[in-house]
Amino acid sequence: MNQRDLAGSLFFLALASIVLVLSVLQGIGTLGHPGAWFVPSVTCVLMIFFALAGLVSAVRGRSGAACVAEAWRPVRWRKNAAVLAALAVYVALLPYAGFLAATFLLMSVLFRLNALTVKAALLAACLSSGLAYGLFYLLLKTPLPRGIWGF
Amino acid sequence: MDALTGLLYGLSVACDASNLLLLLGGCLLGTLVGVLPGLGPVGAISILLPLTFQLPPAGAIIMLAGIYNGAMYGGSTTSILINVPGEAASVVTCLDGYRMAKKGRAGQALGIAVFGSFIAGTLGLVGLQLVAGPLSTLALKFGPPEYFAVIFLGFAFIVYLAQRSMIKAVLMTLSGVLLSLIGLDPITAEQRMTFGALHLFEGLNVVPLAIGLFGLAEVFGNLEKTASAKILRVKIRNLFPSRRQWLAAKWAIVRGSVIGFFLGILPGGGPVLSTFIAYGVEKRLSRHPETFGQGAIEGVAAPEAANNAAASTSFIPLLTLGIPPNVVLAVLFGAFLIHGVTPGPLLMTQHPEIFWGVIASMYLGNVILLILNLPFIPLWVQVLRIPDRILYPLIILFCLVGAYSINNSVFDIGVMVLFGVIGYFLKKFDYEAAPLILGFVLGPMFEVNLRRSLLMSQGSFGIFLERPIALIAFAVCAILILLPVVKIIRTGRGGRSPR
Repeated sequence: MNQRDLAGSLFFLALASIVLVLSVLQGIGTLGHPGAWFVPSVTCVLMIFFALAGLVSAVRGRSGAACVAEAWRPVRWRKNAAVLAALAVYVALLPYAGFLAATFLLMSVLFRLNALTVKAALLAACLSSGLAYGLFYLLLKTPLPRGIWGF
Repeated sequence: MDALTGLLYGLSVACDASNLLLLLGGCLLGTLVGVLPGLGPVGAISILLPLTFQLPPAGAIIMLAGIYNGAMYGGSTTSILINVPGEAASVVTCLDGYRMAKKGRAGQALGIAVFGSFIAGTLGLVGLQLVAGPLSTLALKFGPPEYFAVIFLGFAFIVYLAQRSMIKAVLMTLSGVLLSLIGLDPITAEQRMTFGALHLFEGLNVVPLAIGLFGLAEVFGNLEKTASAKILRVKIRNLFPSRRQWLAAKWAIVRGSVIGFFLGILPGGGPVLSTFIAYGVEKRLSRHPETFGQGAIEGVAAPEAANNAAASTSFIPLLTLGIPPNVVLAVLFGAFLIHGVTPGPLLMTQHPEIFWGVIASMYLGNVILLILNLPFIPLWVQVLRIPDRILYPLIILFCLVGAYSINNSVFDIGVMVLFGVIGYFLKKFDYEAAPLILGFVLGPMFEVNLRRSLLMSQGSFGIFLERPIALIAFAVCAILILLPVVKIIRTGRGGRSPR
């Protein structure tokens, strides 16, 4: 049994089933007058069919093939989790802190996570956020979020 | 406008000082991003797209085409020098390119890659120039059934030519279609899968999706690795191939160009697949197949020629039918729309400056890349030496600004981060992201043309069999679907790609 393929197929099966139920509840119309949920429901039916085919293929797969935990074994997933958390905080902070301040904070964290010393991380963050602000806001006139401080 | 007049007109557009500068900048930036391992043409175009927002449409598209060509050229440098492909189409170049570099022939490998790319790219453009006009005229006769059939054929090719499992490719394509349906229904304006969120009323944008799946996911994938690639410390010399090397590589370049030309047009084919086939053909035809994988110059020339020819001809379906054949062109399709230009059969008449300007700029781009790449190779080698701990935070920064700039919306950054995580998991579970993006871009066209066809025929699927073009497209689909089934029955293999 290929656990990775099994998990993937189950995910798509669940997703397609939920959207299919949603589509049918909203009304799919008729073949002559297909409604707004016609194509989503057709897509979901096909997804369910192929997810089931994937399930069968995964169950019949050779034993000892890819297991779910195997994919994470040799990796430093904590670093990715920390980067993801930093990005989530950045998205929440950006409208209030503005581009310059929020990006400086994010870049400081990212450089620090990537093994730069605190001083080097702060310097690199200052340079990168400043250059990005200069290039996109001042030069290319991209309306970056200004935040409560106005920059 | 005939092909020659069109090209001359396009040259007058492309040779405008500002457009020429944009092309030059696009080629340089594209090569720079293409050189960075992991970030290929999709990432390059997505991340650098905001740079074009203030530009007129023609200049913007010319710059983006330059970025695409530059990224295709740049990808080979990392393959040859660090055995890590800069983009998927350069994977095969690693096999012999890196071996050549290890034997002290890095200059020859880089040189033949650049010259082979130039020759093939130019041949591809000649084909694009000749075919695009007549195909645009033919496409004007297309109605919803023809468009639906051609898009369906595109899906069939995407799945048939998938790099890994066909079942997974189907699931990814369908997921892309489903994601594209989020938002207001194009015919009845009914809300679908928006959950009342205003940001979702207009649906998701392809650019944050692509940046997430191909930019951020790549960074996540690299951050968790414990070792980084080592650059060979070799002297780059003899970039100009000798007469003996030309003789060895000339037919590989010609054959690679022909393979790339045809596979570039096919949806789902494109540069990546053409490199594998060109390499396989060269190895099979070679008198010394044992030298392949040991540093054979044909093993570099053929795939590099194939991917650049395919990169040129993949513009044919985009510019004439409005159907992007691969994931890079799907992102470029999004870029066209952002600049208020709809690719398709009317592009040639409504925006001749863009249609012919892009083709002419690609000719010029090839020359610029040939002239610039050879002296700049030492600089690209230095770029490769930027430590990962500096590089990855900077890529994340560009991803953030790229996603935000599309609609000046923090919501798009959230979408990009979400799809970065999804892309990371897709890799872990061995799913390809490219079919998802293609399904996403083709999804709305697929839906509208299917529903219009059914409305026209009052619910009869017979309409697809009454039209010759639709009938031919579905016949080819049937063959593509039956071929793997026959193969599975014969070999007993389940669900794997026929290669």
